[in-house]
Amino acid sequence: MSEYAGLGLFIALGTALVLMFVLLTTLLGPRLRFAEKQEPFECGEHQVVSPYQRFNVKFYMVALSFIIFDVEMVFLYPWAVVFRDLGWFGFFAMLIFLFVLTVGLAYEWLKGGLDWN
Amino acid sequence: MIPQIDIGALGPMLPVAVGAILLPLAEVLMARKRTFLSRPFTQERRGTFLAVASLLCLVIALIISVNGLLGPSRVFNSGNPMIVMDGVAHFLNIVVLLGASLTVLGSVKYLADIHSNHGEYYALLMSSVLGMMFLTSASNLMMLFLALELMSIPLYVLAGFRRSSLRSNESALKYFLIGSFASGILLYGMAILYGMTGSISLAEIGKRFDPESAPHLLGAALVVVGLGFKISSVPFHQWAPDVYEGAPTSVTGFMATTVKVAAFGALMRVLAVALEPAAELLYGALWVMAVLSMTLGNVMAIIQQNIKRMLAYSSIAHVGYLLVGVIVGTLDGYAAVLFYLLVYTFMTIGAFTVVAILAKGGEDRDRVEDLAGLSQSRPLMAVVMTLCMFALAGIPPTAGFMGKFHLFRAAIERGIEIGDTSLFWLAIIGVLNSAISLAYYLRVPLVMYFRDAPPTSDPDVPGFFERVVLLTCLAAVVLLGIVPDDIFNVLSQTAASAQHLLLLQSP
Amino acid sequence: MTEQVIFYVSAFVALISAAGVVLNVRNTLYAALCLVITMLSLAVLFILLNAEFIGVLQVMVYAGAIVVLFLFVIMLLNIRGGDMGADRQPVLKVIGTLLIVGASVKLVPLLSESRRAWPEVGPEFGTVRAIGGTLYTDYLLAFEIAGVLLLAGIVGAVVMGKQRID
Repeated sequence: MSEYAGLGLFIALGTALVLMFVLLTTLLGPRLRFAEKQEPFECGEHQVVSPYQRFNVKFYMVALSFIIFDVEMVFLYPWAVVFRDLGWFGFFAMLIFLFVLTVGLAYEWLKGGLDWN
Repeated sequence: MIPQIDIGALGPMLPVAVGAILLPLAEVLMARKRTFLSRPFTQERRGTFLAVASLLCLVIALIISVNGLLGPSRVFNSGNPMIVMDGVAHFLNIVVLLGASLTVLGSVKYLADIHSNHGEYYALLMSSVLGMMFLTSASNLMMLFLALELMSIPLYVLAGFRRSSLRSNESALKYFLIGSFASGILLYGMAILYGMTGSISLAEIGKRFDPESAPHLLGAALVVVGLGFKISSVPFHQWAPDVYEGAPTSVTGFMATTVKVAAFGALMRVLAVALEPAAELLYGALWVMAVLSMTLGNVMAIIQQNIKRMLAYSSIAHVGYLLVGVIVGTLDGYAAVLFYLLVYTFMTIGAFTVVAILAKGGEDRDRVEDLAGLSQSRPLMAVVMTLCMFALAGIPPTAGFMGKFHLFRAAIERGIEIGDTSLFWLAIIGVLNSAISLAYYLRVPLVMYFRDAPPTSDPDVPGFFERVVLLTCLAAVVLLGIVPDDIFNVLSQTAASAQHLLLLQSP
Repeated sequence: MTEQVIFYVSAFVALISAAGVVLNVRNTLYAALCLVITMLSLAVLFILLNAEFIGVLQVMVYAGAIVVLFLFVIMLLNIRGGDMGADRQPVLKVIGTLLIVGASVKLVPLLSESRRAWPEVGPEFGTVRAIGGTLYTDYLLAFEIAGVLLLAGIVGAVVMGKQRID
């Protein structure tokens, strides 16, 4: 567990720093209120449409592809660590796995699943 | 460190896996403007080619499975057997592969008729079949769950394969939500079983299971509930009619048969190996599930006007009959379940194929009235439909009668043997339910033979592939009704050898 | 001691944020963000259990990727508070809540009393090396099937999500 002490320190320092900044701005910063400043958008621009917009389904395709290949990458980590112990056996095990997923990538690519239009 | 693996144990799975992996690639390469054959394929030719390719994979797998059925039992990795390829696994794989082959044949024209002729259909179908084959042979919980997901996820997509149809979308969404919910319950049960026994191997869990301990039983109950959703037994059936009605008809036939075959395989293995010590307690619950499934399925089927919906309720009733064999729990009981699954696959796919052929111009014609006058216009389809309905109702001399006969006989013999009246009641309720089921099964032939077709009606002609499916189902429903004794003895031996091996096998 | 403090803090955060996921029916975006917090606290719990690799995966795959997908879906559907029909079937809601609470009251002591003693684990346990050592040998078949499952997922995603397939 002790190897996480650094992480704990990091989290504690990070939190403290953020709290400090917030505290300092509330204490030291000037407080002026006028109509433009109360606008939700930055730079005093008027809001034109609702921020709740319907997303295009294409974003979903991208996110789903990302997850699938994210999981593929996750499987590669432990393999890389034990690669020397497993030798050719592990090599071919991963080769089959990668082949299957490369077929998936090729399919999606050729099908136009990665095209925006 | 490097395990001794026996790739030969995967023999039946390999052709299906190759199909599942290469079919998406084939589909997309053939759709290119310039293919490697330098001639672009039309959508129709592509569909036919992919159907034939997947049929080839399925038939090769079928041949290997039939060979394996006669050979000795094998495991993939003797150090940690994830799967056990024993007689039961081979037999159930054969049934799954037969069901899948008939589905592929019955889909070619239907997909064009509903304007959804995309090659991905066959790729997803093959992935699902691969999942089913691993599900029937899984010998530990991890494999069981992975196989279940590999079976289900392509099916969620297939249920919504008619992308322009709202009913199909609804079907996919319902199936997905209920299916994931069921997977969650199953997984929670597995987690508890693992936490309590410290093993994920079915055989090892069977040794360490303590029927006195409440958490052990909780895990067992959750696993049974999870599988209960997958086989759509009452009270976990509510999704089935909507999903079956909305999905493309060929997919419905596939879901109604092969999924149940595979899920029953898993259920039998889990009950007979891992949860064997809890048998008495669980069988009480299963008894209630069986009676409710039979009764509710049959009663609700009577009032349906849509054939797919009616067959959905009928399939729920058949799950009830099948559960009788599982509850009996003897070798004869398991053998009767195996035989009934084989028979059920043929008669159900036959009926769904007739409904699928009727689809035309992008629309399903799946109301009972749509069959009116079919005996005049398409006599072959009417004969097949009639025989399938007779078989589903269990009228002799069809295969359906022999299947039910063996199930109820096993229950009564076991009841006499251990002097348990509840098993008699199970058989009696089963027979009464078969009588109730006549009410809706016989309505279909009546409409086909005694009601005139509306003048506008022009039922579609079955193509070559559909004819093959119809004739196969016809032959199977008749032949399995006439010569089942030899088959049944073989099945008894299969179940015996499998049980023997499973109980001895522990990693 | 420190471990216990960390456990109770992250378990508390996990429970509160999980409740936040369920209770934020009106604003599904908040629910998804609560889910991120739940996943992060679960990651801490995994690490406490010596399952370090799983903890890292929890952050990478769940908090990093899957919740992002949830956010896309929420924005894709563009559901506003009133559309959810959350107030329908109040009787069922009450019965369901009572059943869950009753079951939890029974279950929690039951499961905690009868759990097996923690097995002794070596220093290697839960490390990437240990997982790699079993995943590609004993669980080779499961690993390869996971590959086919991901492929089926890709094909399914294209069929369901792409606007035109031909």
